[in-house]
Amino acid sequence: MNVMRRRMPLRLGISAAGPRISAVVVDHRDDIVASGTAEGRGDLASGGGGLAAAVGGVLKQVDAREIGLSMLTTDAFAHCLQDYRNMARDMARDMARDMARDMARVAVLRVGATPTTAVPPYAGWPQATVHRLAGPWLITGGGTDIDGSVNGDLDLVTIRAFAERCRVGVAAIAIAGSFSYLDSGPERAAAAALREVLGTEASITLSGEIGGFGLLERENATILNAALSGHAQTLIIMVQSTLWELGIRAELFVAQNDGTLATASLASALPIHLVAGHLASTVRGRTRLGETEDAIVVDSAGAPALDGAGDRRAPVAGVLRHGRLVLEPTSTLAGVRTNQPVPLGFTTPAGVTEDRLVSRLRRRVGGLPVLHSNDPAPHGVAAAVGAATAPVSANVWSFARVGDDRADTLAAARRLAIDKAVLAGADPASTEVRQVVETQASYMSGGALRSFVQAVGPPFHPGVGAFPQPDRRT
Amino acid sequence: MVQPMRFTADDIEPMARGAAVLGGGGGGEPFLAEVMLGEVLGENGTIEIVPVEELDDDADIAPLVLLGAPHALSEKLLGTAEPSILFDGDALRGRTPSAVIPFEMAGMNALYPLAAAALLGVPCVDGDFTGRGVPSLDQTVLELDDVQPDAYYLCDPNGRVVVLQTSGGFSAERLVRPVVETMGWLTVVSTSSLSAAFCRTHALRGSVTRCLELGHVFGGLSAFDEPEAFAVLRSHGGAVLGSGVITERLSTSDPLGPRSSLSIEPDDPTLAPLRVELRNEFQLAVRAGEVLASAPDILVVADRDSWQPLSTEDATADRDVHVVALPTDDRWRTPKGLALVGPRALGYGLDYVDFSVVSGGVGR
Repeated sequence: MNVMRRRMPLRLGISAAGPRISAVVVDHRDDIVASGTAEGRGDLASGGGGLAAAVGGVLKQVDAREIGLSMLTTDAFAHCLQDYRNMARDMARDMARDMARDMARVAVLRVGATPTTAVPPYAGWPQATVHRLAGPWLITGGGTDIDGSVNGDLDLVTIRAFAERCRVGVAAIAIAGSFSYLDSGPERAAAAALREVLGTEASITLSGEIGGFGLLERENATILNAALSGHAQTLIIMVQSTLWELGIRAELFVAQNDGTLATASLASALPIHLVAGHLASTVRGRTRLGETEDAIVVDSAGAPALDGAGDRRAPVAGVLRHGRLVLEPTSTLAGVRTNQPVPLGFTTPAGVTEDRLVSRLRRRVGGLPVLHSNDPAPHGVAAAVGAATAPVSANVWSFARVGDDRADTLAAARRLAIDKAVLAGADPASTEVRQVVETQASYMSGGALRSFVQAVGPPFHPGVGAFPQPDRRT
Repeated sequence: MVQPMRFTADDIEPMARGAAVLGGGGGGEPFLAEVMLGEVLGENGTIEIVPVEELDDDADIAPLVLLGAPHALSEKLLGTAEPSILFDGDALRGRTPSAVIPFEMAGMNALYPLAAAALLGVPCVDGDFTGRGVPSLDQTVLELDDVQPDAYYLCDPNGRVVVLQTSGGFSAERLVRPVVETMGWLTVVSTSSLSAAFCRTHALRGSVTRCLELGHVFGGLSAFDEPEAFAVLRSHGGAVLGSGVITERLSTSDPLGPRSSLSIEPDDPTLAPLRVELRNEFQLAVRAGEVLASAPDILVVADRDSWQPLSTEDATADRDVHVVALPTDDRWRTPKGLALVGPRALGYGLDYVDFSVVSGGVGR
């Protein structure tokens, strides 16, 4: 334990699962000092009232000015993904009506090092989702190559012409560059060219910000992110303004798919990292309440079914083993293959029962004890605790070729991971690399290595004196 | 004459699954080639699959294989121009072939030639030269028969082409591999024209059909309980060597390159763990010091629930898996075949073990 670690202020954790909002306040020992729940109308983004009621409830127990950090965990983005699946399901029925409607679509600009034309954007997607979501796309050259060099110049004339096609009916743009984890320069240059035409306010997601290996899977995640980004902005701003009105001046963090946090400004730009955040927080919080590091946590109320099975809520479960959330390295979200890790048990197959889900997980992770998310505290409290007590993290992917200095490459990745974690809101004084996973690339002689590095730190807070402190403590 | 088989969009999924089975963990994950094939075929496209015996005598057959690394493929995806660049360029073959033949019926290389056939508008031969995933261009039945095409043509995604004339039994792999690396670890490779007679003499037959059949078999396994599924595999000549969770993956390097060892703990903790040795493919299965199965038989590590075969890269700790052995083509089980692709050729210092005669190996 780092003795230099700053003493944590009171932290507010908020869980928003559907219309049900739970709020807790934890102290520096992570003990719950206040809690409240409320049922709102509609989801957070619609300002349904549940948030103000739940947080207002805890503020009867704790002074708003004492809260130094606030954390949100929500399943709202999993609901959005479910909507995309329902879109696909309802498609045949609604085809005629939708043809007439002006849908907000996602345009895709792919910047390859090589022609990638055999596998265009949206290839392999459910046909009806493509029909509803896909805007114009362009495949162009000038992307990053396998050695990190840039292969040719961007075709700015064509990119600007593409931007003109995005003026009408396009809500957001996804830019996916080859090997963007080695150099995202081409993606950023392409984004700048689009903004010259569309203005600085254009909603653009870069695949380098989404991260991960595999251009098509990363591009798919980037497209889904672009599709979610408008809703994410609205929702997070709504939460921030509600908290402000309640007198809470603390910075807001949001829980990501592995349960770690990122600042609200970063999170609202990267909602694909938030889709499984609520399950991850539930697992972390419930195991913390149960004082265990090894358990399968079942959320019977569940998450929106992601298998296209309509509005049904399927049971979901997650696993904490040796104190770590067990992740599925790649996930199929809204019927689309992505490279985004989500908790093992998040994407459950259609119609799976709770017992079957547990037995599947037990086969993967051993005979761990089963905990239920709504025991001993009411549903949502575990997730709120999980969010309030989570650290901040950031991930980096890199690749060392044959002949590269592997130690150098890894050291650079470690530095970058720490820098990114600090940008995501981690305290620079105690952010460190927590995980390094190196994998040999097959069919490449000489031991080429892919690596994944995660840096973690406690959320930064400005400390005593940065905002007015109550007198009654003296 | 038999009605030629027509490959349609409905065949893509079982073909991809069969390709992953025959890959034995290697051959490159079929996913991208599967998506490409879906794009090329659209809803109504078809590809004619021609048996080797029914090729016209004057047919000009072009083998096709993607050489490179899955890591490169994952970011470069695939282009559409390479097949026509290889065949239509004046300096090369100068004409579209009458049919293509897959070089290696495994992983992405089982599907890519089908997509290329559709792009070129020609049939695909129901055969290949390996019948399974192999680590090198020298490990084909052509090497077994001491025959080589006169030339190899390599085309990279940027349309750059290299022609390698072969002669005097020099290793094609040693000639080709450095060019593949220089071209950025992803190339489409073909050879000088092969005659129908050449293919009838040397190619393995029925490879596309077998791949599809295995895809259907594995695709149906998840509907059965485990004893029933094991029986289905036995009826196809296979055996389940063990089922359990991968608890450890140890990676090391030796003079032949990187290798890894998986430790698979069975459900029954009193049984010894199953060890699977891999390089780019799964190559050896050992329990308590006894070799249960070895290359060139095909070792498949499949997801416990879905029976989806895993690539060697995906076989990581915590995965719950079955380990299945499937018989390789009889030509690989000859002394010459084993010398080329048996355990000793792969650096293991032990002899080939036929899984179907090992008592401990028959599916339980």
